[in-house]
Amino acid sequence: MQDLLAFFLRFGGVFTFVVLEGICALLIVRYNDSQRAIWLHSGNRISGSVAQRADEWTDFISLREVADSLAAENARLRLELLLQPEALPDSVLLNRVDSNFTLIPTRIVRNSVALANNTLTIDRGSEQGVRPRQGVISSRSIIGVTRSVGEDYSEVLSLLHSESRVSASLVKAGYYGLLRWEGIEPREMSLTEIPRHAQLMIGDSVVTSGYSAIFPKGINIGRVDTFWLEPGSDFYEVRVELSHDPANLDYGYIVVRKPDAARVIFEEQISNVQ
Amino acid sequence: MFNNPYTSTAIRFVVLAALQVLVLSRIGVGEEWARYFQVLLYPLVIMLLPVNLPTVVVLLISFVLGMAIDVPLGTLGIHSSALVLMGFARGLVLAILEPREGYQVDNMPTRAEFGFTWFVSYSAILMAIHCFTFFAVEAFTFVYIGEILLRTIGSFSVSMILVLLYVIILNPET
Repeated sequence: MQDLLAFFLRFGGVFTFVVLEGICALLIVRYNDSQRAIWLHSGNRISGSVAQRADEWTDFISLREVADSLAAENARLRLELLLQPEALPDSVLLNRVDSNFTLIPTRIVRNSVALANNTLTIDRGSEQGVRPRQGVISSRSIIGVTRSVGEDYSEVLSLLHSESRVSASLVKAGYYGLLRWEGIEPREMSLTEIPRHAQLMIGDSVVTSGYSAIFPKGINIGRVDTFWLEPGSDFYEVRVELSHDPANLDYGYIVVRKPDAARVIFEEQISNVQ
Repeated sequence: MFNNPYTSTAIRFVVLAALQVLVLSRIGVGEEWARYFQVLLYPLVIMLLPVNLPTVVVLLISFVLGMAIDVPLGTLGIHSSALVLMGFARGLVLAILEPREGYQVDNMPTRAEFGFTWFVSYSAILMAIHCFTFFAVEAFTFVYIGEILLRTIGSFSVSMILVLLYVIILNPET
């Protein structure tokens, strides 16, 4: 017992110090008005900042919802734009002639650009009105065409797929050709079947031609980057730079064509004849 | 009678605590300048405790003396916490200022024992620690750190003058 006391007297300094200061702190906060006010105020500040952090966190969590609703809003506005007959051609995404299309906003949940045959997954499916062979576009360019459609998700054949073919036309030169991917640069497409007598220029806009039922006419795709004539060839080799970066896509729109009975029947008849 | 460190400590305890509560802490009450010149003489009791007194005992005496000041002044815990911190720092300051030949068992940290210069640095360091802690605890926030420092400097100066007057006039040996 005496040893213990001696030990404490020798080495209990820090312990005693902490205990006594703790008692002092309690007394200060308990019995001094201004110090107690400061103490309580600091307590409120700390709990307030904790609450604010939590608030910011929930804000962050709900960002996805916000973005989804904004995408829906965008789709509605774009549709309205496209229905405006007097809108300027530069400001519309779809040519005003093609007013029988609607857009479904979608999030791109999976994407790839590194393979030779790239596909994407979108979070819309048959439940939301998606069917196979519908175009998917972004706000600046086109993304691809739906292939297999599930209930809530669909697979999109990317523009960056060896089987992708999109009919595209040059705005200033006025000719159209087939757009496909060479399989090298994700942003670089090749446009073929442009005849050698076309007046090509670098920077000319490339848009969808509207010769298929998949994409409406006049959706922006990209710009002419370079072009050249292979010796002995009657067709230009045109390199097109996409307006968006296929590796960086968050949102897109599925282009849904409103049923156009006459055209569908006509095209079916033709294919039956063939 | 004054040769025994326990008696002299007890007497200093009572006299300085009473002096602090009844006189020194009443100087200029309510005056603006008094905020910056508070005379704090009671730390001298802790400063003059025997060198070899265990830290635990020093801390306990500090706490009790602090409470003896706090209770009548209605500042419960403020003087005590500052004085307990000073009591804790005393061991470190003594270690820093230890003479080359070391301390003897019955050494007293006095001017009579180690000389005036030694006592000035010893008491000045402890008084600075005490004043700063006291005003920091009183403000209870570092938001007014400029104000805290001003009050520390002012009160440190007047308190040190009294401490040095005390040791010059009375020259306590125990």
